Amino acid sequence: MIIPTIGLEIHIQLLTETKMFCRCKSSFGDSPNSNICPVCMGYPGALPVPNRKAVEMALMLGIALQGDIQLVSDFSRKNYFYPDLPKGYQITQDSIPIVKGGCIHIREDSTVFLERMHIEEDSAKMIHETGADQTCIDFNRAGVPLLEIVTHPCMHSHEDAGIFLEKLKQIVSYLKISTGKMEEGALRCDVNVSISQSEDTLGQKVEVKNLNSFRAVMRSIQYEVQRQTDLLEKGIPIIAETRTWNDEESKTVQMRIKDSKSDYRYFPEPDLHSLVVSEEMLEKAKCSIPELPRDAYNRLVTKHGLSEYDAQFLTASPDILQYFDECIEGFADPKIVSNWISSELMKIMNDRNCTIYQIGISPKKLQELLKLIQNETISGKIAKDLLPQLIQTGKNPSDIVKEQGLLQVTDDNVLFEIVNKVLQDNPKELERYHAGEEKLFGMFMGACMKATKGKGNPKLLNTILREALKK
Amino acid sequence: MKKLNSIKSIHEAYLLGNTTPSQLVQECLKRIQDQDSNIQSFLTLCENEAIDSSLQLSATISRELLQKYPLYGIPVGVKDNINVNNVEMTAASKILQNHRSVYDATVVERLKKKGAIIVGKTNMDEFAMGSSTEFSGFYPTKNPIHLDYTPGGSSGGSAAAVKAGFCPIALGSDTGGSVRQPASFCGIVGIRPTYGFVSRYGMTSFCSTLDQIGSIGTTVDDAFLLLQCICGYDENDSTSENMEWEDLPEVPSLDSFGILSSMNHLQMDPFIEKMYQRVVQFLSSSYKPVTYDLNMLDCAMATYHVIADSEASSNLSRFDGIRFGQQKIGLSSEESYLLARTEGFGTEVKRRVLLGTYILSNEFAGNYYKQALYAKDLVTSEFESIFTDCPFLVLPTTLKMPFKFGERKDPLDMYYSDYLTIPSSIAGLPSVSIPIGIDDMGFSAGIQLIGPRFSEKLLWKVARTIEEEVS
Repeated sequence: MIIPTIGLEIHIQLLTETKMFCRCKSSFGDSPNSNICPVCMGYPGALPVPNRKAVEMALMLGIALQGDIQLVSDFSRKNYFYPDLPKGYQITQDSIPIVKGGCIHIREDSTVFLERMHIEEDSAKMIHETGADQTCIDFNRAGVPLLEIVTHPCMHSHEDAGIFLEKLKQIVSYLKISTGKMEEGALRCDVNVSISQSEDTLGQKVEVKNLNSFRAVMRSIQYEVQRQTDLLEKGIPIIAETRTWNDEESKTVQMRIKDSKSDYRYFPEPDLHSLVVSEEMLEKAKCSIPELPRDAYNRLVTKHGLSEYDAQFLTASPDILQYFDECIEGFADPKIVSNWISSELMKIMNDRNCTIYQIGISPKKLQELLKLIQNETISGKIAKDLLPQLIQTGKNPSDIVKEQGLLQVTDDNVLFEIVNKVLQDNPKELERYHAGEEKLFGMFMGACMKATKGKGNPKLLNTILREALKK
Repeated sequence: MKKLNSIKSIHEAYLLGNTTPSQLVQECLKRIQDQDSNIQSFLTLCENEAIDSSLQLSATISRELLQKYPLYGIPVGVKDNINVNNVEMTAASKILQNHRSVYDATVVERLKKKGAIIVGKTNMDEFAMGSSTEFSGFYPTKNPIHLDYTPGGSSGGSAAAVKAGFCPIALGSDTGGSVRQPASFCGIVGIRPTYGFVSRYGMTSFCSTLDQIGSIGTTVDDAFLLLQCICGYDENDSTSENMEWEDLPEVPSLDSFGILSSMNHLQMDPFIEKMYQRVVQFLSSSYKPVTYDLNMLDCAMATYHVIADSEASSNLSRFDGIRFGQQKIGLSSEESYLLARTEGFGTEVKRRVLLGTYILSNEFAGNYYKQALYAKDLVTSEFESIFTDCPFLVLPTTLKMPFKFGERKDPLDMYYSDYLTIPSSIAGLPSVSIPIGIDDMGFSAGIQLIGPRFSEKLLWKVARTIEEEVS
């Protein structure tokens, strides 16, 4: 029996306005080296001042993940030379991180436990231009606040790792502390994989880097487990090494062998005092935590009577949940809202690759549209046809319905005439119906609906048609 | 041309219209031009900026402004490890040759706001590592009293410039005695303030835990006036204390003072011994002398060097030639680092960086550094217990009188220059060195007053009494 064991090291870029230790903008995608100052460039004499907001965000995640908040934690220097590290050291937390422990429930019966969570600063970004014999450095990223999260080696499949990352991303986006976008480097993940033949021991771990998507994380784990299993079967020892994921070739490749522990010469950062979290800060962080995905899920199922599937879908991202909640405010049919979001709106989001709020129909308008269906002013079909116009014009659903005469036809006399006309136009079918071919009812119904241009009230039409056919 | 020595005498001359800031600055610059080729106290002169600002100050001079701005029209020398915007700053290191500051240090900003005129950047031991200014990467500064002698260090340029009358006051920095020792060698007054009382923002860090910017003047009043103008909380320095000059404790009624026992083994210079006894005798006429043991005295130097060299190794990592300073292009980034640092750093700096790197390495798991921080606490608490009993201590500033160039070749001999200044540095306590007597060579002995944290007002008062007595 082969038991794979997986641990993850995750870096999350925090969505603060400014960097961790200076007042430079901390935004993604600005022109290179436009957000820099003496502090984040490591100029002589510049000194760090911790970003309070980043600390609050770390506390929020710590609390949300049920970690043990350290009221006094340390700042340390991790010393090494690299061109992307302006000061020649990274300010991080070493002996006492701001959060110890914590966990994420990945399934009802399965929990991933965290070792620690600490604050640190990001390095600059090295840009290797292909073909050029030089490397450019963009210091905009230098000093951006990061949270490093280290899990215990407690996952045993690539699926578990995938779910863990999804859940983590979901939580950080609910807390609005990070975009969690791996493709933008806002969430980075290194993987440690080992295999063992018994539950009591851990095998030699191998580190995998350069993972740019959840899919790459999962595939690299799958690959590593297989590679290591093959080695084990051939009797070749697994060595301590760092490997890099090659996405095109779907395999891991050796980067370096971990022959000795790198010497980072950690020592307490003498330019900063210990990080002290006041009761007031802790209280503020607690109050800033919104409803978390698990609680939202439970609410949708128990309070709003949605299926587990619908609840899962609606809680996947915080803006969909918020949109849903805004739609059902003062509207008693959560199920139809849920259906519309998961079908009509989802389709548009996928087509246009946009978020729900970018579609261009506010929750208020969607609610109005759905109300028109509910009170039988228009049919569901017309509502669906109307959606593109609503989005394009930004008009109110009821105005469009009036303008275009789309109101449902509920006048008995009008419908009676239409029915009679349809029956007159189809004498053969009428004969067959009376001869017992009752399934033709559907054909008549369709023809009548078509004659009303879809505006006939289906219920009324149905009743009138049935009456007329009795004759 | 009469030398204007004190701030008070300059302001009086301004009021009487005997001179103007622009005349005074011209005179200072002329004096520097004529005499500094021998003394070499300056590395860079800010002639144009100084003349411009002196003209402005001359145009608006008034009694009110002179009262409001204590340094109105006063020429100041600034040690070359402190940033003055748009002026070269090298910290006397070749690695920073031609490096132009991109911002003002907090102290410089404050000096400018108080009306001071910065005339130039003064020479020093490279990165403030040394006690003679012989380790300047460019040239040694001579002692104005006798050109065969060193002015002390590392703030030797500032002390020599003030002594030579190039500027009445100057900023230095004091890590283990680098303000007090050169002040003592040049027969003037030097203050190391309480750690955290003066912002370090903009001062090139050598040892963050111990570095403090200090003031140098020909009189006790001038040195304290300068300190008064630069002290106080700074949000850009996280180790800055929330204390303003006005909030300092008032001077208590004095009944006793402390002296240290067991200095016999230190082989103090007889002239220093004599001057020290003279001060003790003078003070004894008003206050009761009490003898205390400072058991940690002999451990202080080792403690100091472990902390200072460790932090220096990390603080100097940023000098890699990539973002500023002298860039060297090698075949790899490692080679570029090697070239820049090998050519850029002097012997003493290399020695300390190597020692510091070794001390912090895995081999000792930071134990030396931790142990030294522990010893620092012990020294601090020993001082604290002394100061619960007596208001201040009297101690010579140095064990030996000024030495000639090349006289202290063994680094350890050089390190001993700071033997008596290191203890209060380690404890973060304010200390002022004042010149006492004049020997056959024209040199004075430096005597230090050390008080508890934030006892600057008290030290000012006592120093002034002694100054009046000896003059």
